[in-house]
Amino acid sequence: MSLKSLFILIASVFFLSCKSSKNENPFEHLSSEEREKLATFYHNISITEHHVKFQTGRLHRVYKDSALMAVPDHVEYMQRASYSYKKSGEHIKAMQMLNKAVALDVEKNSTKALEYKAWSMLYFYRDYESTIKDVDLIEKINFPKKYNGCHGEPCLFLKGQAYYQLGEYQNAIETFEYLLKILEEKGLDPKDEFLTNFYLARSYFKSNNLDKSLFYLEEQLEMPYTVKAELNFYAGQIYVLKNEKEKALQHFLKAKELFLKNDKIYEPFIERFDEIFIDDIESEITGLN
Amino acid sequence: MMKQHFLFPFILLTLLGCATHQTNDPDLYVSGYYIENYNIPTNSFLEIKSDSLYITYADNELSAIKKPVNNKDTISSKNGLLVIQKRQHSLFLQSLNENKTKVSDLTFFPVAKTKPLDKDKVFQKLYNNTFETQIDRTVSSPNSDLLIKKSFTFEKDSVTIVYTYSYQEQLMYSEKEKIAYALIEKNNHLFLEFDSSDYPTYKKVCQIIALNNHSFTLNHYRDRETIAEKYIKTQPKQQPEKTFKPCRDSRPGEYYFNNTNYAKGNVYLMNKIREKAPLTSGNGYITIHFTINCNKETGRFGVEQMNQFYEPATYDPELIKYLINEISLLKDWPDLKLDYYYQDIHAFLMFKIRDGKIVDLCP
Repeated sequence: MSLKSLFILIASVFFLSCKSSKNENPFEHLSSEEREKLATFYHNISITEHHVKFQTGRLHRVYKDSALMAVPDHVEYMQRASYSYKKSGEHIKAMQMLNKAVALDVEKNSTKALEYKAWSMLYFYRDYESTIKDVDLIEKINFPKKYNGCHGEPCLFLKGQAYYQLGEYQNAIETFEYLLKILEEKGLDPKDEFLTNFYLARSYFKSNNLDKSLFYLEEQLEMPYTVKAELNFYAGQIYVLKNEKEKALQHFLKAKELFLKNDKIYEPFIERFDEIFIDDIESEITGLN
Repeated sequence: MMKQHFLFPFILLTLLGCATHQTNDPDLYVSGYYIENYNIPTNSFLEIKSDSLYITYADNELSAIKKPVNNKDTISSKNGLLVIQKRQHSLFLQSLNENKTKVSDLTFFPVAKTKPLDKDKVFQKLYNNTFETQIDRTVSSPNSDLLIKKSFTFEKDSVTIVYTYSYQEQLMYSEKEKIAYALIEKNNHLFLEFDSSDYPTYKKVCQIIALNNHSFTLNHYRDRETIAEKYIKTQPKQQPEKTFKPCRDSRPGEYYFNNTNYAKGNVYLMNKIREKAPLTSGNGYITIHFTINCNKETGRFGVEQMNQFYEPATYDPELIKYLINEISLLKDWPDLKLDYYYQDIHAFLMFKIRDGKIVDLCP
């Protein structure tokens, strides 16, 4: 080998080693305890200095990535890192991270990440088939536990809504009623579950069982902490179909009054199914005249 | 002898290769932005002299503080404390009140060493000419699938900035804005100052680091980084009819900060948009990103397409074009509850596609 070739070879090795050192994990030499500590440190900066209001920003992501560089298989950090992308609508990256978190979690027979995924599938992606599949897997893993929570809501409530959106109203009714039964067995009052009762009423409405639908809507209208604009609006629609126009008008006017007072369903991140808007109410009132 | 020839460049390579960052500290810094989480532009300079730092604020007020001794140093000031921190690529200056709570922060970036540029000659090269560059995304909207070009056409005191959005070599949308600009000279360095925000001191300053008859390169600053953008001289094109100007040239708020959902709801919106939507093929999602400014106008588009397995996908350009243009016409946004820090909102609409048709709208 000529010296010239040798020089080219050594120079290439030098450049490649410089380059590859940038790709190596800088925390590789640390013990797992030190990595854990470092990850907590980065994670804490991401949620304090670059907290929820800046969650979609680059700096929040840099600290989240740094935490994951220290503990690459940390399910919670990976799941929480995906929030940044989901909230900004960068869904490919969000789902890559979330699917990885779910795979790691399920491998350990844990359903925390899957519970969040089921919730996301329903509300953020309106992927109803996946919601049902995910809730079924959660129930299978956690069997014989009957009640499972999915990111703050009962998993069965998500499954019922998924059936409702797919037009499988009988399945939706059975799922909501089963959830209410489980809650009753836990010593809770099923009537306190406003949204489950609301979608149960909507499922009966879509199944043409107007009386049953009206029963649940009126029952919820009597409850102190429910959201009243939607309840009045859909009760009004039932009275229209029953040809009781005066009652229908009263409900629509009440719905309008409550809507203007913001006594309506509202979620900052998503629009819930069957949420109503002022034009929907106005159009029903106009239709009656 | 041959061995020496080989060893010398090898040692030189070793010394220079990985250690190029070890250079002398610069003596002039330009403010990238104010309040780093918002990236609000501001036009200040920081100069380092023997034992003091001199900050020239946007309103021309000059402030002198003692030179820090460490990478992170706290310095008393009239109304509280200043903490200056030397970072890898910037200087971070925080002002704290008497209770040591952060009041604000300012990030300064080193001014690049360039060949001296003559202000008049630079003006002559810019004046009446159009320069264009390609960007991955706009400041306010994420994007993965559109090819976005940004151009400057300079007049005497103003510049028209045009954004064109293309996909699969077809023009999807274009928009323009006209703002005031100024050429600023500081210690033999030249800067372009853009009057792009809603407040006189929120001007964006970019350093001109290279210029010739065919192009110029601008350094601008975002999220602790200096970004160089090269603009190539191009023939002036017909300007778009649509005008869109964000109310502040900084990170916008997100759609969920305050209620920015469309006043008539998603069901109305989906039915309205899908009525005349061209068909495509496949299953998945098309996300159209956009910015709503303080006047409830929309612009600054971005697109992300994915299949039903949440992987990258492509759909018919006719549909993409239709969706962007439909969104640009939407008017019924609620009154935006904007605060001191942000004046614009980043929003997105994600259309669910089943068998080539729009079947749902999220979020």
